[in-house]
Amino acid sequence: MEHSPLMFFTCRDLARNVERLEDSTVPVLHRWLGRAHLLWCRNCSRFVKQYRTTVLALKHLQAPAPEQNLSALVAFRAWRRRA
Amino acid sequence: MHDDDARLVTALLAGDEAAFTTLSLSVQRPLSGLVRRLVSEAAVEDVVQQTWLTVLSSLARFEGRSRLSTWVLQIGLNLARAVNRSAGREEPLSDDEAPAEERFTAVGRWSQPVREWVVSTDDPERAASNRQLLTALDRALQELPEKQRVAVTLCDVEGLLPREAAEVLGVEDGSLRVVLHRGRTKLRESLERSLGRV
Repeated sequence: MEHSPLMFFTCRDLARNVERLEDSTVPVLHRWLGRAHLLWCRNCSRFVKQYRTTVLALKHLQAPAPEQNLSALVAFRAWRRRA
Repeated sequence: MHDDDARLVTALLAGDEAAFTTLSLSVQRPLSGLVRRLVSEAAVEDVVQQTWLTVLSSLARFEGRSRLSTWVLQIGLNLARAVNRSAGREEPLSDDEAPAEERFTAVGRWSQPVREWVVSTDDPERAASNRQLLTALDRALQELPEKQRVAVTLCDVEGLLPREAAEVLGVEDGSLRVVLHRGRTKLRESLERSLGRV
């Protein structure tokens, strides 16, 4: 985590480290400061929810799994014939 | 070389179709998902098929420095880039600057309020499946610089581990995490522009 003087945990610090705030490698004091910051900062609280929503929503963009890999199989059989 | 990959390579070189099906079923979705984010829709199928042909014809030279599945994705990425270059397809400029510095004041506070979205994010799980949000996100992902788009697609859309995505992109794990964070941050900003309440 990038360090600011601890008394000045800023919105910029939070936005830069949003993914690491729950990380066990982050010093406990920094985690607490991050959580405390979120309690009083409406902008950062909104930012974190939107960031989490964005990451979660990306999973929904995955195309359905192909039932058959026809193009892959065509490539394999063509390669095997040539080999 | 990883034991599983060594067995698979041996079987593939012997022409074992079942071994190929095992490999292709595990890689086809992330491969297609990655290629779809890089080339025009009309070129996706060709690039995927060309990827498999290249994989198979190069298989005897596979050294096992990465996992076999990762190697397939590397080849797909390189072929997609080559197709774009030959088609003269324009890519947004990459930027290595920390994102959205202008959003903060000199003392690190937000310079403008973070706008609420028209889609409530009080429950991120629920909001994440909102159709309007997904349409805007799909468009925003397409507009990311290529490296960020690849990192986000592999990790967040296709579910690869950051270490695997780093191998595909040929960067260190730490660099991948930075690229991924910047991509995600840009996507959130883009959604704020599309969905933010005025």
